[in-house]
Amino acid sequence: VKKNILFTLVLMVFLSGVSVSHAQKKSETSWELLKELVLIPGVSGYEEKVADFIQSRLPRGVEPQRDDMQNLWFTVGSGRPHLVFVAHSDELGFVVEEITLEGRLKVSRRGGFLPQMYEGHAVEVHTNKDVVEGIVVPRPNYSKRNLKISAYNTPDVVVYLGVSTDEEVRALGVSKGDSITIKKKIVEFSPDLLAARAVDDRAGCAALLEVSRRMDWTKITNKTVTFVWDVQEETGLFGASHLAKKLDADFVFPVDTFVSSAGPFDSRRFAHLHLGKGPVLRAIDSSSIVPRAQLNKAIAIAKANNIPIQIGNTRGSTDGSAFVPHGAVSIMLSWPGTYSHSFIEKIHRADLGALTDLIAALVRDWE
Amino acid sequence: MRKKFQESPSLELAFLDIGASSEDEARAKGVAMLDAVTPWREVARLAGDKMAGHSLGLKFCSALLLDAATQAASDLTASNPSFVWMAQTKLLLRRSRPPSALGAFRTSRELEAEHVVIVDVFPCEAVDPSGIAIGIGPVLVYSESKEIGLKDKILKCAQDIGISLQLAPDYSTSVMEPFVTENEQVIGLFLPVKFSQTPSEVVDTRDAEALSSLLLALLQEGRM
Repeated sequence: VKKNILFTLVLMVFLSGVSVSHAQKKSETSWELLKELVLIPGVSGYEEKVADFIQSRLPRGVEPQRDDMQNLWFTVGSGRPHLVFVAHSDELGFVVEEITLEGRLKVSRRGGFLPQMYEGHAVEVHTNKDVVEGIVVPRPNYSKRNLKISAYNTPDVVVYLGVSTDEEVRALGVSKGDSITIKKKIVEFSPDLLAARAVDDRAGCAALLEVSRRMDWTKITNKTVTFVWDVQEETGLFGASHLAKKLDADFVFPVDTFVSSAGPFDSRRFAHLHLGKGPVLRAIDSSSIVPRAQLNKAIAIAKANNIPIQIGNTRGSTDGSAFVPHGAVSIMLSWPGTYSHSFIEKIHRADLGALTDLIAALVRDWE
Repeated sequence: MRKKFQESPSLELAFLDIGASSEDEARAKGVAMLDAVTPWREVARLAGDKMAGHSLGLKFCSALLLDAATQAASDLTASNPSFVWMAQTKLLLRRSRPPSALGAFRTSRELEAEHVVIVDVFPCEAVDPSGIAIGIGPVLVYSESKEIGLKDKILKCAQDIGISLQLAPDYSTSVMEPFVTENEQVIGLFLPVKFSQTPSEVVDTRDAEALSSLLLALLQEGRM
């Protein structure tokens, strides 16, 4: 008997171990997904690897679609209303524009950011084969005392790979049109707070991915729901514009950063929301206003599901504005973030977790 | 404020975000006044045997000297050299002319050495026009106005083991200066670096290997 008990005990421990590890894999949170997603390169126009990652993590029950632009989406349910939730998979960066005879790279910029952030820093050139490391050359005379700081623009950005001829550059596999990102890293201030490049909008991607994995999609019967991970948002909402024509949405929920004025140099008079106090219903931005009725509806759903939210107005626009001309109402969902478009876009775990819950609640409860 | 910082960045306008939102939170993280702050430590591996990183040249120099001292330990009884890894070389002794690094000044007074070989970095673009570049070999730094026996010994040793040296006559640094007195023979074996004192200081590892071999040969054969 003792032997049998021991055997059963061992079996139970073994089985519980198996089921726990399976459950852990299945219940990977948006926070954990974010930490993987921010490290994947995906400059606007080069989102394939991000789309691959997301597609590989989608649940079995959904049928993903992908177009030539690398927009990725799936649709479930039927009838009206048609709710579209969209996050963008692209990020800011450079593209190789010219290989000089001296073996340096000149670049063009993809998206809006300050090129001087890159000066003197390590970057990665993403070639067809491998990643080639380089550094952005500091401006001439950088070491001279009392040097007057001059403007530093994209034409000033020069990448050094360690070689001195164009032929050597090509031998490394680097060619015109390759994308370039900063050498990525995650700053973990604490278990609940991190900063990294491309939190905008991999946090949105991660939130949608977690919801797509934990929803019971068979219960969505009285409406149509589409989850989209689109491309080229940073360069002009091109992916969203393409899909907006196709999807015929009634309501679009873009999931993207709310740029909070929580940084030390920021005026607190506008767009000042707190990190860690919950996701944001972005009522007004530079290209959309959420109608009061829909705003109240979203607030009511959050309240009914005990999800803390903040309401904010800010500048900028989201993919939602590309759907508006096609008749959709845009209801912008966000997390409060600081240092937008830098290498250290900051995000709080509680905000992303609650944002994920909010998306799930809206999918379930929005009529 | 933001515009001012972008146009003329200065320490007075800079701040470090450590993920705290109050003084108490910062202290709870263990952060205290006078804690040292460095940039994120990372190394980029470039093509052509090059590496880039913050303060990479000096780290290489420290490592090379340690390696040479360790490898040559059994052969050192005859010449009995001292090895020093100097601290506080980025601070200058107040009102020193020519400028002297604090750590080097203290070391020079402590040791009273007759022959001094300084292992340091040579910032290629800061010395204009030096003609010194990375990837061509270590840099021999010396004074032309003074007869230095060590110079010939090092040149001979380099030739014997097939290492090419770049020459920088009459170049000096705040680390070398305190050692330069009537009685001392001071010479520099420098590692050339590109983009010095940036987050991406570039070192050609072939230069580092050559410098390492040269130091070892000088020590093992008792040429110093």
